[in-house]
This record gives sequence, structure tokens and C-alpha cells, in this order.
Amino acid sequence: MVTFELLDEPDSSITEPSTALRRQIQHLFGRSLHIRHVDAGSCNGCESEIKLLTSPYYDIHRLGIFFTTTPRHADLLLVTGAITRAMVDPLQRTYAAMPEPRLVVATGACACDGGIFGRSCLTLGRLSAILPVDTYIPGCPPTPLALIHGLLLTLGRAEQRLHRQILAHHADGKA
Amino acid sequence: MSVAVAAVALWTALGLCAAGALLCLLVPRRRLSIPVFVITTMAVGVLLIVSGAALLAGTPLPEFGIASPLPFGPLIVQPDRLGGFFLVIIGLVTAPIGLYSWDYLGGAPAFRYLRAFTVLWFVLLAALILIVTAADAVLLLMAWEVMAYLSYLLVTFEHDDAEIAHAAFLMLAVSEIGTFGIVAAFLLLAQAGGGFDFADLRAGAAQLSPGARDLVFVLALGGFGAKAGILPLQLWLPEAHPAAPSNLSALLSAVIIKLGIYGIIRVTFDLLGVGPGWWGLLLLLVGAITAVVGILFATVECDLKRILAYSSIENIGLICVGLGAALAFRSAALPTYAAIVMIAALYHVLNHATYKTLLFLGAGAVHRSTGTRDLGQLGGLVRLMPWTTLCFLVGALAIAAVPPFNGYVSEWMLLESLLRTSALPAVSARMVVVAGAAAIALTAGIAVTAFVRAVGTGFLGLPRTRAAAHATEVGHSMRAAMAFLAVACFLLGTLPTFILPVLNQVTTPLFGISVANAIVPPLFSGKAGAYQALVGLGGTLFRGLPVNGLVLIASPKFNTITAPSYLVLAELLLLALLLLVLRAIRPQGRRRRGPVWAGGIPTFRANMQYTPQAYANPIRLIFQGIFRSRVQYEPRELAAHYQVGRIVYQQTVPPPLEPELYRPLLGAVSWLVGRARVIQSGNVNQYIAYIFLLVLAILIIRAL
Amino acid sequence: MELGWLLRGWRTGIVTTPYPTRPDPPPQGFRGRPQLDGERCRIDDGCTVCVEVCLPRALRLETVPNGLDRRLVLDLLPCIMCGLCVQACPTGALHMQSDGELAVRSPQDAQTIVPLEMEVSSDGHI
Repeated sequence: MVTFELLDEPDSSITEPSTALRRQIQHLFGRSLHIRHVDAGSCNGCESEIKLLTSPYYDIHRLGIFFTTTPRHADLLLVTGAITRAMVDPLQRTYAAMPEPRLVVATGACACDGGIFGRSCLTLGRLSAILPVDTYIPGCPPTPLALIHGLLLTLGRAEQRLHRQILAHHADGKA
Repeated sequence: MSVAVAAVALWTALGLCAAGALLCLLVPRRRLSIPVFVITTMAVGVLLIVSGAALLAGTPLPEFGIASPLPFGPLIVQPDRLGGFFLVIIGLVTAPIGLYSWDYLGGAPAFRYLRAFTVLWFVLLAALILIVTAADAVLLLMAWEVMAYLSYLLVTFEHDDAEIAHAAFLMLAVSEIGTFGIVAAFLLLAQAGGGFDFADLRAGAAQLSPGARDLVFVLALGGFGAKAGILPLQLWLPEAHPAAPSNLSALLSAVIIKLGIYGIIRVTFDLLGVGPGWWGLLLLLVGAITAVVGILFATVECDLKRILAYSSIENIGLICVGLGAALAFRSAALPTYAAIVMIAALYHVLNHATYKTLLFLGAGAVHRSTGTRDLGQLGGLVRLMPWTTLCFLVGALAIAAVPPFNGYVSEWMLLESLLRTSALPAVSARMVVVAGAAAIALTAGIAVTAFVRAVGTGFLGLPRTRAAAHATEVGHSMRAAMAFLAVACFLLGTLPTFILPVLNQVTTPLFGISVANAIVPPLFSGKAGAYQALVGLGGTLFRGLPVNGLVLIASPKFNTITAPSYLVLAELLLLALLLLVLRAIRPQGRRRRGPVWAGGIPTFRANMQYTPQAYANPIRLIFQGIFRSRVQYEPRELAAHYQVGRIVYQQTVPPPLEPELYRPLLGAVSWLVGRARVIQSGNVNQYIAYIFLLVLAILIIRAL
Repeated sequence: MELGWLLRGWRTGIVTTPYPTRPDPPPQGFRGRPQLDGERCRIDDGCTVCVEVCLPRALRLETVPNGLDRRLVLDLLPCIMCGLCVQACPTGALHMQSDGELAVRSPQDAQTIVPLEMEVSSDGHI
């Protein structure tokens, strides 16, 4: 059974900050970034990877990136989980409590686009439904290196590797 | 002229005390007794300030003897400048307390034993006056004992509470142990001198052997120190102060423990004469330990009045450090330094009297309004009681030695004059004095923590309980009394250049040298003399301001200058600059106003606030060696494994030295008393037999 | 005690990854992400095995907003990198790549799209 879905092209004006703003943010946070992590219904797979970021092996402090315990001190909101409806309000409060300019990163398949949970009566399925997301870090869970890459990408200190690909269907065709 | 003013004011004050006691006894209704109490107390306070000020300006009063039926000669009243200084302190504290009592005693809930309180209050005041004006050991001791017993009776004002009764009894017991030492010291001096008035005692001190003089010093230090609250005799202070009604605890802390300081000064500086150097170092060490331990316990305590009581212990320690250094300098024949550090210590006595009265009155206002003194149940008072909060804040800033309030000036002077130790000949003595200076610095630092905690958790934030949420501002008279003291704190902190020369009048007879010009150099008079260099440095820049110049601590190698009066201007200037800078660097763009961050849940609740216990926890952990707090932890598991029903976690900090010193001591005493009960049968006939046997024994001894 | 930790640190040396200055290659067999080879894909022949096995609907058939054309989308955002599609693919058009740097700024950048040509037969069936 094949299912077909009708999806609109994502509205980039909501989910993406303007280029000028992004440049300003990258200038401000380039070498020092404080992260507030919020678990919005995660299975804790992402958390165990995030926890490793501060281990001696990955040690993101060497990159000037730190975790804080309060959004008041945070520049970046790192969200994991499938955005359960119970966590929508706290998430929005957290975002509101952050000083501007502020960045939002969706971490893991669930926060990026629902993962195995998808959209349901209990989950929104994606972070971009409620907050403007700057960077998506897919993976289930994303490895610590992927997380570092994502954070540095947000700061403009790394290059994006993936790009939209439109593949030609097979050339020989069938008449 | 001033002698006549001083005498008239003094005797009128004493007369008013008697009249007040009598009136309060006779007035039938409480509505009348409170005005009588307030007006008389304030009048006594004002008269004492006048009398003391006249004494400080002039010469000692002529001797006034009262014939007594006792076989010790007449009782002599002859206040000198030292006594005059303490008269000013008593007056300065009593007058606002009287004003405060109008609403405090009259408000609801009513005090039950009001008549007893008012009558005994005036007798206590008279005793205080007599202690500092007596020129005779017998009168001094009699007044001292009256003070001890009356403060006991007044603390047990609400004697239905077992805890209060216990606290008052503890206070009386420590006081009596102290009296034993004082009596012994005076007896030793009187036996050598052949009389009990101070002239005889001075003569006696000159004739005593060095060992006997050392004994007198230690006995007097212990005896008066018990009242002052120096370690290890401080146990009663944090118990008695919270138990007493607040106007009395203010008097206890601001005056009565200071009389212990008066006693130490009187005996060691006046009566005993110059002693060996270790006297000063002993006093200094005791003071340093007292100061550090006192402020540490003030930092972890949660009862507002106990915090203030521990902080009184700390301040007594600071004063003792100053007195000890003065003794050490005097023994080393350096009267200039001795006088300077003595002036600093006396200034601290005055300052502590003002801000501690203010703080106790503020704590009393909080207690009257909310019914609790526990910081963990207060909070949010800044909106409900803005005047009380403001006054308490001024007191807290003053006690934390923050300019422009008065605590800063005296603590700075103490610290700076202690750093003049390079003048002392003995290296060991220098090290001890420097250790004392380090203790003062540590104490000042922790004091900031302690009072940030007291104000921050007690007055700011949200009310933690319903009692705190329903607090209302106290009456006008209480506010006026606190405001008066707050202004006094500010003036004493900004105009010390007018006070210090007056204190110099007190120390001049003690050390035989006037240091007025050394402390407040006469830059504006055009006769700067040795301080001409200061004029060149801009010392006369503010000639137009009525502040009398700078405060200077001189030494052979380097001088240290502070200018508390100009500091106000500097602070205002800095504040303006800060505001300007903040305006300049304020980021462009819109501002957002958001709700308080509450961890993501909708409303911020009072129990999410930083608690006083949590605030003090770092200090408690760092100084665990001193606190020796005990932890009681009981998880109670239910039938199902891993399911914990209730957890009891309790951390208690025992009072300093209580488990180490007092427990074994009291155990030994009660063992001894248990043995002595053998001779007590309760049979009257047996007791008459004891008396008969004693008389017989005396007669036999006389006959031999 | 503290000295022991110091010595241990001294002996162990630096353990921190050189990333991002130098690459830190993943271990053998690491399932980084599925990659689609358009040449081998038989979606035009009506093969939808991969779409059927994909639990999070990372592989899906979409109707382009014009309402006529359809396309196969491999969207890495919801992908859980389970590799079921790789196992299921009969032609080997899908295989796992080991690269881990998957972060994107825009959701579209995580998509691989194979447009489908509509072959409409004479009787109107697809």
C-alpha cells in the first residue's frame, strides 16, 4: 500500500531568519556560545549524545560553546524530541525568556520532522511548527560530531555538506 | 559652664528615671502609661546626650558622694570623659527606642505585663547611668548587679514561654559568672589600695606585684567580657536577644554589652595602668576569634534577631581587637598609635550602637507586623513595608561597612591603624596584630554576605508565607525612630571629621597625648604644619564644604588618607557616570518585557526563590570545621522496595563551643550539685542548725 | 588523590578529537545516511518497496503542488538511518553513506528528489 501525501513547499519566510540577521548573529556569537537544552519529548537518545559533547573526547568547551542552566544566559536553544503538546508552552516560555538575538536548533529526527513519532494528537511532529528554526541536525540520534558540525554551522564556522538534490530518473527509460 | 550643664542634665535624667518608674507604677490605665513611658524615656535620652556632650567638651564633674550604710565608705558619682562618651551612647540609643515604643508597646497584640516592663525599664536606665558615672567600685558593682537582674526580668517579660525563660536564665547565669570575676578583680585592687573609690584602686594597682596585676587583668577581662559577649562567654547572647522584646534587645545589644567594653576600658586602661605587652595581644586574639566566629554564625542563622545577636558578637570582637592593639601599642610606649586605634575602637562602639539599634528596631517592626522572625518565612517586605525595608537596608549597609555609612569609617580606621604594626618592637607582637587585621578584613567580607542574605531573603522577592504576604507598614512613631537612626548612621559616616576630635577628648586623659591634629589634619585653618604636603596634593580642594577635611592615619613611613565626606560626592559622581555609560551602551532596538523565568512553568512561586539556607550553604561547607553541623538523614522505605515514603533531612548547626565546652562543663556542675544535695534535707530545723554551727565557727575563729 | 588524577592525565595525554580542524572518520560499518542512486532506481516501473518499508516516511511519494506530477523524496530530516530501505531495495539503488555532517539550515537541503514522468496510457490508467 503506497500512501501519497500532498505537501506544500515549506514557507521559508517563517522558518529562516534573514541573511543579514544571521550574519549579525554569527558575528556576535562566533567564539562564545551558551546553549540551553530543552527536551520536548525525547527518548533520551539525543540527550546521551549531547551529554558526550562535554566529555574529554569531544570537549566542546574548546570551541567556546557552553551549556547553561537558564535561558536567561543562553544564546541558543537546542531542542530534542517530537515536541509533545505538553512541552509546547514551556518551550515557548523558554524561547521568550531568551535575550535577543537568539538561535534555535532542532536536534534529532523527531525535532526536525517527527522521526518515528510524526504528527499525532500528542505531538506536533516538528519544531518549526512553533519556533523559527535556524539549523536542523538530523540523525537518530545525531552523533556528537554531527552535533558539533551543526552548532558550528549555526555559528558560520563550518560549511553545510548536504544540499537539495534533484536526480534525473534513469536515462534508458522504458518506452 | 559646661560642668553645670552636665551636672544638671545628669541629675535631672536620674530624677526623671525615678519619676518615670513611680508614674508608671501608679498610672492606672495602659493608655496613659505608654505616653508617660515614651515621653520620659525620650527626655532621659536627650538629657543624657546633653550631659555627655557637655562632659566631653569640659572637665570631669566634681565628686559627688552619697553616704551609704555599707562599710565601704560613701558611694561616689563622678563622671569623667569616658563616662560622658558612654552617656552619649546611652542617650543616643534610648531616645529613639522611647519614640519607637509608642507604637511598639501600644500596638496589637498587646503585651500582657506592660506595667512591670515600664517600671523596671526606668530602674534599668538609672542603673546604666550609674554604671558609667560611678567613680567607686562598690557603686559600680551595685549598679552592675541591678542591671544584670533587671535585664533578666525584662527579658522574661513574656515569661510564659519556656524557651524565653530558659534564655533569660542562661543570660543571668553567664552574667553572674562574670560578676564573680569582676568582684575578685576589684577586691584584689581594693585590698592593695585600701579603699574602693577609683583613686584608691589606681594606687592599689601601682602597688600590686606583676603576677597579681596579670590576675586582675584576666579576671576583669573575663568578668566584663562575659557581659560583652566575647568568646567563650558568648552563649547567652544569641539566646537572650531574640527572647526579649525588640526595644529591649536593641538596648541590650547597643548599650548593655557595650558596658562590658566600658568595664574593660575602665580597668585595663584607667585603673591598672601600663601592663605587659601580652595583655593587648591576648585581648586582640580573643577579639579576632570572637569576630570571625560571630560573623560566621550570623551568616548561617535564619532567625533575624539571632543574626543580629551574632553580629553583635562580631562587632564586640572588632572593638576588642582595637582595644587589644591599643593596649599593645601603649605597652610598647607608642601612645600616639595607641590613641589612634583607641579612637577607632571608640568610634566603632558609637557606630555599632547606632546601626545595631536601627537593625533591632527594624527586626522588631518585622516581627510585630508578620509575627515571625524566620527569614525562611519572610520575603517581599520591600513592597509591603517600604519604610522599614529602607531603614533596615541602611543599617545593613552600615554594618557591612559600605560607604557612605558609618561602619565603613570605623572599620577602615581600625584596619589601617592595625597595619601600623611595623612600629611595634617585638616581631611576634607584630605578627599577632597583623593577624588581627587579617581577621578584621575577613570579618568585613563575610559581614557583607551575611547582610546581603538577611536583606535579600528577608525583604526582597516574594512573600514566602501568608504571614509575610499580609504584612502592613508599622506605625509612624516606629518609622520615625528608625529614620532618625538611619540619618544618624549617614551623618556619622559622612562627617567623622567632627566626631573624631571629640573622641580624642576621651583618649587624651588615658594616654596623655592629643592626636586630634594627626587624625584630622587642620588643613583648612592655614596652619597645616607637618601636613603641608597634603595641601600641595589638593587637600584643601573642597574648602567650601562644611566637612572639615580629611581623616588620616599617620605613621613614620606612610600615611593613609580617607575622606568619608568627599566619598559621598565621589559615589554620587560614579553613580551618575554609571547611568550615563549604561545609557550609552544600551543596545539599539526594541525592548521586550517578559514574565519572570520560572523554569518553564506558568507562574513563579515563592518557594522557587533562593532560600536563606541555600544562600549560606557555601559558607557552611567552607567553614564546616568551625560550624560542625550535624546532619540527620532518615529515608523511610515503604513495603514495596525502592519506594520511599518520607525523607527526613535535617541539618543543625550547634551554637559555637556549645558541644565542646559547655556540655561537659554543665555536666560536671550538675554532678557536683547532685553531690551537694546530700546536706539539703528540706528540714528547716536542720538549716537553723547549719546557721548556728557557722556562727559558732566564726566566733571560735575570732577568739583564736 | 588529586595528584593521582594529575599523573593519570599526564600519562594519558590528549584524547580529544581533532575535529573540526581535521576530520574524525567514523568507524567501519557506521550507518551515516541512505543515499539514492537515480540511475538504478526503478520507481518509474512502479517499484515502491522502499517507500513501503520506511517507518518515519523519510522516503515518500509526493504530488508536486501543480497537482499532476509526482516525485520520490528521500528526506533526511525524519530519517532514523535504520537501513531497512537499503536492505529492501531490489536494484541496489539505495546504499548507506558513512558521512555524519548532516546539519542543514533549510529543510529542503536535506531532500533528495527523483521526479517521476507520468506515463498516461490510452485507457487513462497510469
